Amino acid sequence: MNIKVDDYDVAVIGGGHAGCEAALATARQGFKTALFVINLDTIAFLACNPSIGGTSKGHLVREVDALGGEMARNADKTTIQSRMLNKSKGPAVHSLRVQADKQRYHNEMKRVLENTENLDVIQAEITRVLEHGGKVSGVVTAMGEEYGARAVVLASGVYMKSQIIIGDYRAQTGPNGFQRAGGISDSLAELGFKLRRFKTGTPARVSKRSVDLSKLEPQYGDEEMIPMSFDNDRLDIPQDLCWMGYTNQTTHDIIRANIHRSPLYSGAIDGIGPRYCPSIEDKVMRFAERKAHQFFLEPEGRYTDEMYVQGISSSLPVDVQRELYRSIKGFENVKIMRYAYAIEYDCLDPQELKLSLETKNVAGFFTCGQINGSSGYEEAAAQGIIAGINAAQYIKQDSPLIISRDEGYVGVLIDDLVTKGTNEPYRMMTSRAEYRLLLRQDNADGRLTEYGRSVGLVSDARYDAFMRKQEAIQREKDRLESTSVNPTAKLNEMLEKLGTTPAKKAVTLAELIRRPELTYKDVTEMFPGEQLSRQAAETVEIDIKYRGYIDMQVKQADKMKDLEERILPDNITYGDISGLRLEARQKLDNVKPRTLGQAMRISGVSPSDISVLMIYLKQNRL
Amino acid sequence: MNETIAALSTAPQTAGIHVIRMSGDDSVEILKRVFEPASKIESFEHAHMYYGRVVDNGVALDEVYAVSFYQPKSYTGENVVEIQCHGSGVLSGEILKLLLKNGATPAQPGEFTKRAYLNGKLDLVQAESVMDLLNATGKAASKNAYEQLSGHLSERINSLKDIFVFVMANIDVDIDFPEADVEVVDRELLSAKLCEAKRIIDGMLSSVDEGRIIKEGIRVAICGLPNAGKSSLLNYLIGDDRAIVTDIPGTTRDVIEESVMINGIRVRLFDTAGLRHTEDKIESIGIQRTKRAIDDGDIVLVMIDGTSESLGDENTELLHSTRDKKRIVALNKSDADINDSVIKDLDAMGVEYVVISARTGDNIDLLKDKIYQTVMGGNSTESVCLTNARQIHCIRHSGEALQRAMEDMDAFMPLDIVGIGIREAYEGILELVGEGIDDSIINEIFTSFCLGK
Repeated sequence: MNIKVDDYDVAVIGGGHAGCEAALATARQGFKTALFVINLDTIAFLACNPSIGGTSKGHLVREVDALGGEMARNADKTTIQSRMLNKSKGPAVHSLRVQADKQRYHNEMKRVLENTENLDVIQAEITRVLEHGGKVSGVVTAMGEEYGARAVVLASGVYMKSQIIIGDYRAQTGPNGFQRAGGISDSLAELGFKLRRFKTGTPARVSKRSVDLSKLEPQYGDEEMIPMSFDNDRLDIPQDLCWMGYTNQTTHDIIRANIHRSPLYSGAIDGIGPRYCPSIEDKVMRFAERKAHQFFLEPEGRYTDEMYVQGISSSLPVDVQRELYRSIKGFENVKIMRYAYAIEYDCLDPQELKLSLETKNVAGFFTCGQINGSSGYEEAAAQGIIAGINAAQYIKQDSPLIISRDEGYVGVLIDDLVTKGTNEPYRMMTSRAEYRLLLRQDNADGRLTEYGRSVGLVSDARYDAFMRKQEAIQREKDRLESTSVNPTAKLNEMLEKLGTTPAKKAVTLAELIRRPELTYKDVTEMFPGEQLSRQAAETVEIDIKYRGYIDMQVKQADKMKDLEERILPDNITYGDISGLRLEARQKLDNVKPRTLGQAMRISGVSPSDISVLMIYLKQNRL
Repeated sequence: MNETIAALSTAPQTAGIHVIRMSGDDSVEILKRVFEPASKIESFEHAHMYYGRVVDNGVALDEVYAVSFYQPKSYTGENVVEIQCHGSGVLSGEILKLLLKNGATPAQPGEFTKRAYLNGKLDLVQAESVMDLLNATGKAASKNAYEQLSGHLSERINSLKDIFVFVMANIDVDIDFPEADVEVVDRELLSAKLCEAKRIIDGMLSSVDEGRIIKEGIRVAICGLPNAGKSSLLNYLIGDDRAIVTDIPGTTRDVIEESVMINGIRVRLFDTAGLRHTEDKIESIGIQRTKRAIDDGDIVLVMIDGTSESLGDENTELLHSTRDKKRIVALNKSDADINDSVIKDLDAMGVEYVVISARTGDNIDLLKDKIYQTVMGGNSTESVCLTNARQIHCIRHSGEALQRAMEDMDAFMPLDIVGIGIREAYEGILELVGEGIDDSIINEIFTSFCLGK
């Protein structure tokens, strides 16, 4: 018999990047929230690489920030190196990535949680999710304590029945030797969820003192640090170094000679691993012609000697690991502090979810993060805040917040997972977004702040600043489009000096900015307007310079809008619609799409099936 | 806002008339762009029929009737335009293409009916059958999409897909894994690949364009021995005495051109000098021209005098030298006695022929039909044409997007900007073959590049 301890509005299971955002979102909206963590020292633990952001992931962090989440602010507090990636490339793909201090990242996030009203942080392993009449009703801990909850958010990451694998060695633990969650899988199965087995891996951590850094190439942070959070206009802190190096033929020979001892190749691992994050043995075997593979050496933090070896994850036995790491130039005397490992874990099929991240099976039960088949801290955090917002909406009996594919990467992420499902850990990539010129890191606030505001996660002060920024952007864009200048000798002299052709007739300032050779800065130095913040100026420049392309993508997105706005009621029985092909009936029944647009993205649903659905809706006046 | 759709609404077979229908907000606007009324009008009144010409860049394609129905008083409940043109598939296909060029999009199978239903124009009882119809046509359409493409065409489409996927995967790797040590993206290689794609698309557009036939007509070279009745046939077809007809062999010393309309297609007839060995200088120049007319002709019409004693060496040689051309053989002078030995000789050579009389007009309609069938390849061109309109629309759209992307590439725009056009071009091709956007780019990334943390 369980002992009922307390009642909460929301119980969040798991204190990783998804769980933290979910718990903060519900507590900040005024709902009494309990965050259950298997070990409080694992809160916001960066279990793999010590960095936040990167291509399209940096976009997700900014979107979480715009919605009122914590990840960007926490990264800004704990960054030790920052780089804007892809700066030489187009504006859609500039991506911010920071090295974070692992220990401090955990500490700072824990402190924020501890100081949040309405939020209790409790160390306990949850072994059961309680359901009553199709609705979630609470959770039970391994120690037999029961907590009532109106909504439950499951964010258990890679901890469910996880197993660490190094060669023949197996340990029934979560990442980094933390205790795993052994009990909850069965409870989920009882509730009717299908469980799957995914796999991922992490490289070794080595002692910096033991590496001959002079043989590696140093990697510096950007001179001007750009903050992750829209709250901060600048960051000025000393930065640490990373290093870059290469494996060599000897390394690869060692791997090939020992490949039979790799659990990946001997078949000892059944879990499905991500293609974008291959182990070094995978890289060597699959790309045999490559003579060297690049890796990065990144500090785990400012106050530790441990270094993360990005690029050389492995599940080979420890003796092989020692040998292969030592074959690398600069690593001749390397001391491994933590060995690389692969980890296998239970996860759910995201096709069992609605776009709100509520499960279709159990009302009020939400899941987010790696449990949904994704990978990465940023993907987890983005799902976390959406799950938190929608758990609150559920309690309020309000309609869920669903970000569309042309509004945010978070929309693409969730739509992909829920609509298409995934057969490997899902990583966000820019190529997954159709409208990536609309979904930039610089305009994430413009896209999503209103949503955050509408659910109460954006403070007055922040909202005021946001509005001022948006107005300034609009004023400046209007000025640039409407101000035209005559082709005076003076103007043309300046234009030629900037390496562009002289003007023949009057041109607008916007037209000048659209010239490939000219920047916003060049033009405003000649024709100054109001002083804009760095962030606002960035958005103005991109919006003006790439207006033609942006308009094109807006048009493409609008074409989809009509279908996206046609809601498909939950209670349609697709099996009964005779006009649908059999495959479409099954697929639609499985996914239960929310809109016609979503239905169209399901593989196996054809345009004529969509036509049939339109007629069905009309026929039944839905 | 409703997209304006267009399609051939009558059965695709050759008929007296064909009706092309448009439905959607812009249908009347699009009609205005392509239709020149015979007499000046203020506007297209509801349900009034106007006579005029469909004009493409100053070239009249056909004389037609056009009628507009304004919403909601129309079949679909939207603005509907119907154009009645001559009942040739090539012709209606051309008109359809012109409408697409001016802003219409090809209708999906069953789409008019679907719209009619959605706008409350059909009653509920009909819903089930409409859905079944959509299902059936949808199945057929998706099944056909690939099948209708000839092996050669689908080969080219596959190479296009490969190129686009390759280029996009390269761009995306460059963007998604900026720090990975994958080979730096080679803009020149990508440019070369895009040029290759452009060449393929241009080739496809030129090969599927029957516009020349509509605008320039079918060229039919009439040839045969002197006095076989070539000029008589020409005269019969055009109904005047344009060519000099005498019974002195070799009267027609030059190539005479006339054109007539057959099933809505302009047929240009080239009456040629009789092909016989001659010492006459002027006549031999005429014969040179005749040979060229035969070479240039879309069709060669070989006239044989059926009253000759036998087929003869010269006719045999003529039949031999034209056997690789699209050819019709007419055995003339059925009004007199056709000699059995000529028929026997023709049968022995395995040559098919039509027996006619250029003087009385006997079987001339059959001959006309033969000309039409021969140039159209003898198959029901209309259904091909209808799909072609869709195909051409997709390919053209893809080509335009590709063109923009190539200009961006040359202007050294960032690769992700270039990628916007390429993606659009790729989607055009996918639409052409009835496929949705898939994971092939991401698959290509992981197959071709070694990446990862």
